Amino acid sequence: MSDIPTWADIVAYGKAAAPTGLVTFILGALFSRAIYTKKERFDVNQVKYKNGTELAEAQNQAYQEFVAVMGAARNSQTITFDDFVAIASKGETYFYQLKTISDAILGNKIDPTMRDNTFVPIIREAVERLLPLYYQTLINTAMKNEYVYSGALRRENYLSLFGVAEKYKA
Amino acid sequence: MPRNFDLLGLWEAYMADISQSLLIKYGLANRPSQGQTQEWALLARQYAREGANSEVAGERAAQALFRDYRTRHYASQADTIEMLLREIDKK
Repeated sequence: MSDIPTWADIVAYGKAAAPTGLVTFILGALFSRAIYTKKERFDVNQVKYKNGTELAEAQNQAYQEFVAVMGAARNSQTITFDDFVAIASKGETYFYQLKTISDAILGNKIDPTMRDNTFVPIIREAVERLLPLYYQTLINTAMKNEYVYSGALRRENYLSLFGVAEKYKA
Repeated sequence: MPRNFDLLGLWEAYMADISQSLLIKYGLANRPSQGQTQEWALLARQYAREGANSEVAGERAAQALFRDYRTRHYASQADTIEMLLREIDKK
């Protein structure tokens, strides 16, 4: 009997240790999947920030145009058909922009600071105050001028907006 | 190699989310730090244990902790649009 391990001892040890090695390997593989490297974090954040600024610019543009046509309609003697169409289409663009942003937020494609500071307040107010008022105004205006208008606020048209408003409640 | 999850990033986003919500909800001038956020949560929980409902407890905790409580009102695009829509509705 000597203390020097024989070939058979080494093989037996290897067989016994194999499951442990496998578990370590699997845990290691999963863990590395769950954590970004520094560079990956930086790249992803940079892309998210860029997405956010581009969407913010488009959103601001849509807002300016929406406000401009409403201001013009307010200043004209009576609301003409052209005014009505302009408000309906620019309003649609405004809410469409918010929908695009909401989709990006729900897909986690926007810088979180920008999402919380800039977009979520706008989206929540749009859902809570603007959408119902917007449709009511269009319906009232159409009725006063006897246009046949069948628009109505339907939740399924604004699913992502409602989704963001409900997910990021203050 | 692309990663599937970003656990640290999610945790960061979660913590940032609370301070931002406090800022808007209680009209603060500055975003509360993480420490202040936790202090607020502790105090609010204590008030809630003493019998206040959660909304009131949060309000009282914010009032007690934040010196800039209700010093800001966060207005936005919605105010302008709402005013214009109401003007048009009047015509």
